[in-house]
Amino acid sequence: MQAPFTRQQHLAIALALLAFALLRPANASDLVVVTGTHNPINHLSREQVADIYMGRVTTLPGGTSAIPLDLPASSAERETFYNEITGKSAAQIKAYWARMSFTGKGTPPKQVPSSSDIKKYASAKPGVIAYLDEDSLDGSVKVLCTLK
Amino acid sequence: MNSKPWARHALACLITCWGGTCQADVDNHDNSPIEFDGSGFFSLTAGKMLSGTKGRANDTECPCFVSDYAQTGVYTGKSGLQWQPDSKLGLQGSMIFTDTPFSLTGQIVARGAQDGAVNLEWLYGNYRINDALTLQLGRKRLPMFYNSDAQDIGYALPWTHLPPQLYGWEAVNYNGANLTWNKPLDNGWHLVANLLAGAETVKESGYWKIYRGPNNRTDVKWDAILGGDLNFSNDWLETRLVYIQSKTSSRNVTGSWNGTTYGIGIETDYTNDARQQIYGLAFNIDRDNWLLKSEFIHINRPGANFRDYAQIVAIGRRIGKWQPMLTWSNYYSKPALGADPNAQEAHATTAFTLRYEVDTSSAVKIQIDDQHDNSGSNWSPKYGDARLLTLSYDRVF
Repeated sequence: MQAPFTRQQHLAIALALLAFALLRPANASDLVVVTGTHNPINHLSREQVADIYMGRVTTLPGGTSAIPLDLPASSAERETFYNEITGKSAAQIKAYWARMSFTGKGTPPKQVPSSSDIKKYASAKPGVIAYLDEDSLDGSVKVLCTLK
Repeated sequence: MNSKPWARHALACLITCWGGTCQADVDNHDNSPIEFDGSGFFSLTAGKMLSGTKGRANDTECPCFVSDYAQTGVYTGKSGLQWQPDSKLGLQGSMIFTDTPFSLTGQIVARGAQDGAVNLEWLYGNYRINDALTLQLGRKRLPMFYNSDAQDIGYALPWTHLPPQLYGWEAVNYNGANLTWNKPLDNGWHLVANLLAGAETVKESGYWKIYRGPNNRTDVKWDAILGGDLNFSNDWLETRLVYIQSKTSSRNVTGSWNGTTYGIGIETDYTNDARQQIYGLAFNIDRDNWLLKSEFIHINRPGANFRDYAQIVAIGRRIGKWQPMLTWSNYYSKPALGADPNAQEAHATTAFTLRYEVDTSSAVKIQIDDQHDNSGSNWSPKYGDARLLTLSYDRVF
């Protein structure tokens, strides 16, 4: 029976795997959507997250008013988050909210400076949802949805 | 747009709160019963008339390109850059009554086309009845067109100015109420239905200055405005249907340009009410960085000698931060009630726009418009053909 790969092919695959491991960003952890631990909801679908962040839905399941939070426009997490849930770039999202907020159709998510602020507000205010790098998780928040 | 003293006062309060420490952030959620939010936008647009039909039309030196009918935004035949027709600055302030379904929003806009005069464009109270229903009362934009609401927000538009063949009518706002129903459906689809009722009075209509001369004063009333629009969309497709009806009347106070002078004006009563019906359809696609925009409108005034029809079709492509777009827009009036077919107004523009996203709050655009006047031989005023270059910097803040 013929071997599935030749020696050269084995070597090429090994080099490719090594290159992938070396080139993969060290911080390529998942992005998670979180809320405060006191919030009774335990799960949101991607579509529900997208509806809340695009202003199409203003309450969480159960009726609590949703307070979505954004990280600063310069953060990599924000760009990744919107790409994941809407397929749109940060600039497209900005143009979308320019159209919505100046025409009485909604207000964009509030912006907070850092992940630690997200955890602070999620603990203090019912209805807060936000996205975080998985590495930033601690016991003050719970995960509603994993994005990547 | 005329604005009332009380409205200006209310908006002044909002704008006062706008400057400085009132920018919304999540801290305001903690204890304050009222949260203030301020934002704004501007477009700095320069235009250069490249070529066109020379002559004097309707007391204006041409070639002429009307970029904004409602605000009398006209690029004329004068040499040099023209900044006024499409430059504008807007400020918006909102008061949000924390943990209640109420908020109050006002927006003022200063336009170059109106010599910088500040106008109240929006002032409305917002009551969120439940997650699906929202009631708004006050002064709002009349949603005749897909981009009516966002027509001043240059950053949110792909053009340096809206296609004038479609976006040109005598009233753009109304005072009244609207009820919006917002319903997410299955599989990523969304349905938004909007009902509205109200009235509008336009003092010294910018629209009629286009047709009767820059010094004309015509006042216009739209009463018993009733209508609605229906939006059905998903991530890449958006369709919109609109129907609005109203009674209309007007009075011509300072007379029209007759080729030599303005007629003697006498402030008379408004004409008898006439009926009008507005029908609109938009169909837009934004998929895999390809953009298709299309919109059609028909305005029927049964007692008038002409029926109005306008369309746009645009195709564009998002390439990184660049966005080229080719747009064709067309307007024509169709004779009715035995009207002279040679007195038909008709014009079309082909525009090429290149938009560059400077950052997530600003964009630069360059656009060439090539307008052809297809009006009948007995139509007046005949502005003729025009080729216009515009460059804009649009920002939201």
